[in-house]
Amino acid sequence: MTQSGNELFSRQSSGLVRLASPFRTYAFNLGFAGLTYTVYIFLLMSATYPQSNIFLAVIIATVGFTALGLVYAMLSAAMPRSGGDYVYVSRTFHPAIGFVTNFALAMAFVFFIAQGAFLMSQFIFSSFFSTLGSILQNATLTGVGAALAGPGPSFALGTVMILGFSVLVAVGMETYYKFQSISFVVGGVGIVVMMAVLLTKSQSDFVAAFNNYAQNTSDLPNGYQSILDSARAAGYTTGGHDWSQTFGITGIALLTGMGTAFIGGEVKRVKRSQLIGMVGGTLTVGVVILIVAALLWKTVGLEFNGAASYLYLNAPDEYPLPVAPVFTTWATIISGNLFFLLMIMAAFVVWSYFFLPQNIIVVSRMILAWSVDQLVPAKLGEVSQRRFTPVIAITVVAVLAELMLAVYAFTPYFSALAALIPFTIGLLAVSIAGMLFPYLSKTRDIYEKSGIRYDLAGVPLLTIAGTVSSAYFLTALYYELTHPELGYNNPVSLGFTAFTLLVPVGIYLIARWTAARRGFDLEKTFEEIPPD
Amino acid sequence: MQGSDTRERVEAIFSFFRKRRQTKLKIFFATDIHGSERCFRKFVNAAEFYGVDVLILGGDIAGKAMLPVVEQDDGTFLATHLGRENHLRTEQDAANFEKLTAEAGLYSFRVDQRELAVLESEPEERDARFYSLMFERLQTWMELAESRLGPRGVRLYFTGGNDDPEDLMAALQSSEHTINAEGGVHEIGGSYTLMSCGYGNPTPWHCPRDVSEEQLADRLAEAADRVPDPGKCIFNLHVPPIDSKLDTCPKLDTSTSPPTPLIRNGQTVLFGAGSRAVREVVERCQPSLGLHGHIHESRNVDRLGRTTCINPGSEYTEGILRGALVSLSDDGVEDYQLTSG
Repeated sequence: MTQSGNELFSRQSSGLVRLASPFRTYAFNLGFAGLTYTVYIFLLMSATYPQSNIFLAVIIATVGFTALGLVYAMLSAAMPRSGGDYVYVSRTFHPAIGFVTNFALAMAFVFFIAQGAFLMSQFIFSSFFSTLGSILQNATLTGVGAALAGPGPSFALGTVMILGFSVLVAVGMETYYKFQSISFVVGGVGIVVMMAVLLTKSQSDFVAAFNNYAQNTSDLPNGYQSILDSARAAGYTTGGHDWSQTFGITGIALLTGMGTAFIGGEVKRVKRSQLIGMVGGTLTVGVVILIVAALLWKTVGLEFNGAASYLYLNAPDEYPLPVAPVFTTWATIISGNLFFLLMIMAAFVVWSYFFLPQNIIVVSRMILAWSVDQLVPAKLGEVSQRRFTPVIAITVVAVLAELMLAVYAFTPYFSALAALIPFTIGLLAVSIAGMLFPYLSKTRDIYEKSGIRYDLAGVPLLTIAGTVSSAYFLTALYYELTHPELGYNNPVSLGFTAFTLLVPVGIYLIARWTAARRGFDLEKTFEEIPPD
Repeated sequence: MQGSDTRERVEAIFSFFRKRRQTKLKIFFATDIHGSERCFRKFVNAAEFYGVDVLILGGDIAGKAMLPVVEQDDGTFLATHLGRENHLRTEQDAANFEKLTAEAGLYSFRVDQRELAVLESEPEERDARFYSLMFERLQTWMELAESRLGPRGVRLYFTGGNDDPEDLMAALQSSEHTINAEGGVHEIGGSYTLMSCGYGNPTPWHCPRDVSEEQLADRLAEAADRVPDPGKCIFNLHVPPIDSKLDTCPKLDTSTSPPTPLIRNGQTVLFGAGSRAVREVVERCQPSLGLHGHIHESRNVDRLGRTTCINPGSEYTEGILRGALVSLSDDGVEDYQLTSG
């Protein structure tokens, strides 16, 4: 029996489903964005990049990552069953390029898992206990806060995070999703409370609260001014603007709104609202960071924030506080009472761990895609049929993350920025793929048949988005590679980058050789069969 | 001669690393092309491209929708597709549009306003037009396949799926190189037989060939009884085994039309939509190979006992032919590779 619609007569057949709501895709992308990494922006901004402009940096990053989010949204709409960015790049250019850039991105994500797990203790929980101890006049709690900032406890708590979330994702996705829904609400409310606290307090309120905290925890009178004076004596300066420093910190604003949610079934009627939903998460995070920056400027003082950061990183012997000078610390200090403290800390705990399981899921899916194509052993793609999760891939991710955590915690080999170059390269590849997708002979037909053929002045929207994000990531990469003072371009970071790019080349060549032994030409399995 | 001695020594060293191959039959399998012109032409050309002996086309071969290209009073044409109006000013524009949509599996057809009104109001007329378009395209396909595969001596075995109407499949005749394998058991070479069944277990869409699990089990049992040696048989069963790696898809809320993916705690709920009857017959008979489709997003390989089961997935709307290359020896599946052509 056929049915009549506005444009099609469709018959009774499988696959036709309703589209997902824009809000659902928005929520997914909001969670995936690394809000916790904003901690780094404010910490490193003044310490390492004193002539950077935080507002410009966040705006630039928001534009770049929003454009990237649009690229992901449109490519996933054009190829809904393709399997993600590994396939987008493989199809547009070559499977070797797709695999290498995807592997680099995967390793960057694993690094972020390890780093994020470490920071949970060092920045979040240490601030919480230290401030709690100050409010409650409890030296034990303050001591706990100080201890949690150390490498040993940070490693221990980080391990608990990595293993805990890996197990949760592997065996309890239903439980995890419930957990995530609750976390989303708690995190949202907490952020609003934090903003309200910062908005309603004045700078003199903060100075008074901080002086009280510094007296209680470090026996330091007039702590606010003391930190400013110490930093200046140690060489801290302000004033002036350097574009390279501003671009240098945009890469830290990891706004990654790349969640490629399922948005349609067989009939690809992609609505504009769907696209807005998919990039809305990135935009929201960018706006939130700008608001936080503005509130810090008003209530804490960016000069003070910079001075404390400068001492912490460049003259640690002069740094008087038991915890890191991150905005979570300032927000909890000024909260003034236990209830607000708990609300704010709950929010930061949530946003700090929120992206950890997301990254575990994303990387394990990447491994699954590689295993199905037999680029890596098929065993790595084993899926639990009870829970529909790639258990072995998740285990691999957890082991790699734990190894990186150990290196990060106990050696000087991994700087905070070690993974940013491979991360930039991976996303640059997707951006360029998006830019060229409507034009290349390999992909033009897919584009022409898709429901994403929006254009501005005759130029495909996908190309525009890809061009903007390519420009952003190319600029970021240029600064990352050519300005050693920014901290990306050092032997360890470059070595890690080389590892993430060369290892997959080796893996691909081995896969090609083993395929040949098995009687298959690996290149041909990805090559388009001529239709005529 | 010294040169040839050296060559033989090098060859001997490399042959140590080269796997001994005992391939008796090499097949290429694709499925769920849903009327896509582009995918079918690629499928036929896959014989030469991959150098295989046999092509097997899994079910769901007919398209899902027909798209009217409406002649306007001024001689131009108007077609609405994916939410946008396409004003086709010339005959060439119309032909190009029809070609593009055919590649995605749609049946574009020319109508005037009067005919369109009839089709919109008369379900029987629509059904008849749909059947005609489906049959015409499939017939053209088989003629194309015969012309291209005949000189190479390659055979194409095709079957329907749960989406394909019974009368349509029954009407498609076999030729020397294109064999309607629906419901049959055929010798395909390398001492292997092929058993095919395109019926499926119940779906939310109540497709033409959805049957109950019990009815499906009966059909499969009857066909399996005709297989001389299950160990040297390929089971070409449209629906994958339940709770395998090949049948994972979003669970649907069937209270809406069309159904809506079930969302719980912000995430799509996944489940295994495969068939219990298929799983049971594969586990009981233990054929060398199981070829399946039906769940487009569940591209994967699984093993049920000694049977290798493959679902290559489908991306027909993008014109991408997902498939599987399988080499078979006397001992069963020698190796496989999933492809994306």
